[in-house]
Amino acid sequence: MFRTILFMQWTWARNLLLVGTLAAFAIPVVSAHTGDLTSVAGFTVRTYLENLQTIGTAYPILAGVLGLLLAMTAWGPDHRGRHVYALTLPLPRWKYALLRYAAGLTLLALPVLALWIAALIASAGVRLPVGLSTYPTALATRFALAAVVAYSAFSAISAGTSRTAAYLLGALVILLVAQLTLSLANTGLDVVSPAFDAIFIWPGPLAVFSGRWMLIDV
Amino acid sequence: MSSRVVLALACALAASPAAAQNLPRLEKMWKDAAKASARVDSSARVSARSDLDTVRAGNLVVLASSSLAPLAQQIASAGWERLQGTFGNQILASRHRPLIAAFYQSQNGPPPYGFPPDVTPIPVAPGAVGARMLVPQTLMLLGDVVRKDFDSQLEHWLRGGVRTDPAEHPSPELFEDLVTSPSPLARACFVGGLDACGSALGLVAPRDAATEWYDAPGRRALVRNLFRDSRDAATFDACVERAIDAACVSLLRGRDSVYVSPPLIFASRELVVRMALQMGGPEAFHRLLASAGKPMGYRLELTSGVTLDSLLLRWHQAVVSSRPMPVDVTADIGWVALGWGLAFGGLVLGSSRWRS
Repeated sequence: MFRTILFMQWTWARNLLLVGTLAAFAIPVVSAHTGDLTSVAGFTVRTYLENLQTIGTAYPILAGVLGLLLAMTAWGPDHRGRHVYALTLPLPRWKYALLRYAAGLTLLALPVLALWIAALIASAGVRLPVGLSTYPTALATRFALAAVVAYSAFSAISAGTSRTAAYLLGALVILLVAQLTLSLANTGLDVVSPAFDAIFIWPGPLAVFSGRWMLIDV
Repeated sequence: MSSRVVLALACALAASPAAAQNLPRLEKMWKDAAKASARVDSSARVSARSDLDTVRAGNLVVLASSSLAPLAQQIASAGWERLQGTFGNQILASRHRPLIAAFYQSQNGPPPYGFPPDVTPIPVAPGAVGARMLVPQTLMLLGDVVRKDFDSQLEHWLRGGVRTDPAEHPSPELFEDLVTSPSPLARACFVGGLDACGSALGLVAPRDAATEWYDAPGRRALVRNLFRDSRDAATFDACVERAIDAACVSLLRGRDSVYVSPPLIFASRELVVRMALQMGGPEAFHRLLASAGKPMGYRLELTSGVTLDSLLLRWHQAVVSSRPMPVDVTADIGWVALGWGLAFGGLVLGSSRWRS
């Protein structure tokens, strides 16, 4: 049963997944450039790290986008088909959901693996000055964790009813309207920042997305 | 009537005996008004000061309204301990006036009218209950007051106050600066060259900063960041476009050239001074001030009570130990991310297809 569901999700998501896997492979290779940094001036090292930091923002974005796309392609066809396929299977709902969720996680391994291999290749190809190190495995681990969190969060929304999604969207709109009203009333109160901090600062759900994402750093 | 005629008439009137009689009267009125204003200001200050509680710890005085008094008590005790730990007996001496800080409730605005003018005003955000953030803020502002004791040589070398945090745990920014500095001296310092550390910190005054602190690519990069002055355009182009080092040197030459930034940021110098003060005991700051005019390296030896090499070795160890964690994947972050993943996964399993 798992193999069938995995194959179905692969069929639905393969094009997007291949693009995502290619992007995951390309980012470390392109960002690191293969070359010899030991012979260049310090100014170049500093600029090089700044460029890496800029490009590093692509990692969490890619992890989030991959999580979103895989969750949407896993659950979208069920919603469109009014769940007829799921109802025809001799499975309880939780088991069916578990199979779908696990199949998505399995597919997520592809871009993670691609990023890890690319990071290892890029690290092996660059000669660094003293004080700088490469972090291919740590970067790939973090990417995997971020992709799992994003995929799980978007799956929870996609697998649920439209009402769940509406509640979430409504909460977001209420927060933004409240902030706008407070700002217009010149109260000096800020409700968005604490909410943002609760989400993106440890132990918030998206804390793994925050911070520096560097393949090469001090 | 032309403006010249009006001006001539005004001058004639001012010079007339009537106007001359009015001048002393106007001057008296002006002086009386100034006195009255001063009296109002003074009584407002007295009134504002009498409304403030006084908390004293050592030579540190904290003025605060009754609502902020408990906070002031905490900050005075913790703050004085750290101030004395860094500046020692110098700020306890009777000739040194007390360090006075005064708290007032505000997000970040100026102190209220009538607030004592001879104190260091420190805004306390409404709702701030803990001393955690206020202690560093208070100490930083009081550090600026102590900075007034610095001689010109120390002030010029340091370009800022001395912090009071323990020197063993510096900011990771110093490590980043050390390994990414454009100067070859910084890289030699990073791998353990103490002489290079001394030069990179500016403890050995350079005869020509451009050639002693930087190599040819570094000088070229320094010039590239300068404004292309039309008077030196040909030299500028020779340096940047054709990589002629002599052109770069001629643009940057000079012992105190403003174009040549030091190999390490000033925070690195601050750390070495703080380390010397904290190692040197209660009289260290006094020795530092008393040795004005001597070379900076010698002054720091006197301050710390150890040789310059020992001091630089400890500085190097502290900076290297502050290496930041570039890819932050600690066990805490990993477990929490997995936990959230499982929690969201649990929501997936509990989802229903029956409601729309």
